[in-house]
Amino acid sequence: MINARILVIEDDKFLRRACEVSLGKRGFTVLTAVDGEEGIRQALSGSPDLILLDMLMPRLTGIETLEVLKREEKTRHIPVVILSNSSIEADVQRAKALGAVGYLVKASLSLRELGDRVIGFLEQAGMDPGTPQDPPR
Amino acid sequence: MAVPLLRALFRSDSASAGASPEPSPSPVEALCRVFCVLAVGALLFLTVSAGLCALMPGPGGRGGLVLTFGLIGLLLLAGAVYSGVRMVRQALSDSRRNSECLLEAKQRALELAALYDTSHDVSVQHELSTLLQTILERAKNLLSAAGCAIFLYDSEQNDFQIAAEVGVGMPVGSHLPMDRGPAGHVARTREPLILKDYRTWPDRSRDISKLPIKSTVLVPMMRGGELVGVLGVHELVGTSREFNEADARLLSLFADNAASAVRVARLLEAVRDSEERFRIAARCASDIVYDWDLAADSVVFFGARYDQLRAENQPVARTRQEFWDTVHPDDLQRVRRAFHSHLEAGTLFSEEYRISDGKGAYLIVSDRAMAIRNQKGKAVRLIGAVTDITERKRAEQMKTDFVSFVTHQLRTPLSGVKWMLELAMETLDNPEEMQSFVRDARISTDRLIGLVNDLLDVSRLERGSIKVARRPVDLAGLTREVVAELDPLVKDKRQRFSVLAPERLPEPRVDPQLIRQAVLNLIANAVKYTPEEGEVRVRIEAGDGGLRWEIRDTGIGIPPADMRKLFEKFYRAGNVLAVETEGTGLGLYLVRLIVERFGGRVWCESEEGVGSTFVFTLPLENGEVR
Repeated sequence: MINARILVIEDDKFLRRACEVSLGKRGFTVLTAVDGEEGIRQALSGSPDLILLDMLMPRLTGIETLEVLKREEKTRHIPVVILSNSSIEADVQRAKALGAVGYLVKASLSLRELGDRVIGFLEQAGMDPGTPQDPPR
Repeated sequence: MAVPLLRALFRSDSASAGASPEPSPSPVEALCRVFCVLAVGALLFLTVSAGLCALMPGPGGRGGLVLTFGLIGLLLLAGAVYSGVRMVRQALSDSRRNSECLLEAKQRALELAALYDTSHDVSVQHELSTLLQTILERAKNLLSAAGCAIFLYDSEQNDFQIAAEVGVGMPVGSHLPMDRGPAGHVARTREPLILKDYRTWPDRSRDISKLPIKSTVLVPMMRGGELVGVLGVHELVGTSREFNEADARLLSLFADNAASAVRVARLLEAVRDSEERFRIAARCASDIVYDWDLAADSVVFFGARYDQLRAENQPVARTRQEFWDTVHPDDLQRVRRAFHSHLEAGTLFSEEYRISDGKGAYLIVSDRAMAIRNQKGKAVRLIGAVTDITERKRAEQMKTDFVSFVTHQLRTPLSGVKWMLELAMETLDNPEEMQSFVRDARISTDRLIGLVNDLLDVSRLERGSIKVARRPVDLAGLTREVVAELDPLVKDKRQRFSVLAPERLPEPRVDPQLIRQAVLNLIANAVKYTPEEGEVRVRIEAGDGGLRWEIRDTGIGIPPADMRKLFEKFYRAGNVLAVETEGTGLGLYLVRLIVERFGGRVWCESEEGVGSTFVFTLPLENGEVR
């Protein structure tokens, strides 16, 4: 059975819901946060296996959140994938420099592809995502 | 002795002078000598004759001898008297001629002095039009004439131009053909021309044939064998003066000096023109142009921006080091490298970098320069043009920010629609769940439509292409409708909301749809940025020839730094991102566009953390309102 825990940090409630429902249906345990501050708290307490992080958010931006996550002893090892609708090259470079393992643009992904990529990143991080369910047809 | 004596006797003046190898005596001297010889001879013979007569009184054999001596003596005496008379006459005539010569010499000296003064005056004039006027006056005065004209040769059109004129009213500036008129004749022959009466010249130029010119003298203005023009001096009809050869000679001497001065002035004018053109071009193309003497390490700046800096008493770099000191430290190495590479290897120098504006900030400049090299190829000077591109760079940055912001704002609801529909497709077997996904997709769609509409409104209002239907609008009623629409949101945040307006308000003639949009944006902002249980108050009143609409909230307020840019396109205050990220930065910009469209004004007052007040005014009649 799948046992990976995914933390989705996303301020848009529709996108957050979509990720939560879709990844949940793939068998992941999904934690959600509406902004960077809540996301850091969840990362510290919920011990996720992978974090999907939005860039443009109130209070703490994705980059600022990433900086904190990579600074914190407890969260430093968690792979972070940027999931954003901003594709400013400077942000992409900055995120990679800070240790993000991937940079995905929401508008160019289907939820199914998102799930596939999440599995790919987990495997890449040396984790066994278990046997995730096939996405419903 | 007898030959020169006789010659002196029978030839007048100095005809013998040419043949004599020695300096010949003057006629008076010669006559004087002859007179002396004859007088002494006469005295001698008469004395001898008288002596003989005294020694031998009475008739005797020596009577013939006495008579002979006496006769010779009388002859010599007669000769002496004759030569004496001639001597006196010659002396008198010499003296008269001497005084005439003196007089003429005096006159010539005066003319030469005038010529010198005149030529000197002319040679120090380097401005063409002033020079021409000086030449006119001086030439006229030199010959004490009534009028003067300068016909300058135009080599491009091969004709004359009446460049300057005084005395008879010639059409200055008009052109005369080369093959007609006295001036044309002088130009062709390059010889002075003296006319007793100009009006008798067979083919006078039409433009000046009717002018009241009587006698005239025209001379070519030559410089180095080249014709510069023709100078003419004239007397008016009704005078009897005629010009002579001496006048022509004097005027010719002056004309050649004047021609040189005209040449120099024309060259200088050409140089000034070309320099002026360069400066204007440089000024138009760039903000600052510099000319750097590399050997002396001194730099000269000019240009509009430089004038401005100077007017502000800003320090300007004078040496290379002073210039490097103004360059931003992060750019310095790159600029220096490019600079040296250009000087040494001749690579193109075109760099963008930051320089201090002298007031603590940096300007972004574009600097293009090219070295002037000596014969050995060594760079000796560097001419460069600097343009302030700070504003352009800022605009480019704004454009980039805009594109990425709008991209993000459009992509977010689009992703929502896409993902919600994907989920709906997967839950066809669960109608209830499916409906909730479709509902969310619809909300995302509405958001997307709202955003696109705002963008379109902005674009139409900016271009002025929006259709405006003006009619009297009840602003208080319209405001209450909007408040009712937003009531769920207000209730949700437990805010106190009030609208205060007098019973009867004058109605401005505006487009109700557009004004509704402005009112909605302002009220929605107040509700959005005012925390729960806060207060929002709208007050509408008439006054100053218009209506005043005001909304006061107890919201998060606006940081002072953001106040100025608040009504700019896509601008969002720094502290609103902490509240939400959905805003487009278009709301207040639209309010401004709409209110200004109807002749009103919008502004805001705020204290961060305390609240904000937004006010707009609308004129009641067409026109502006304060």
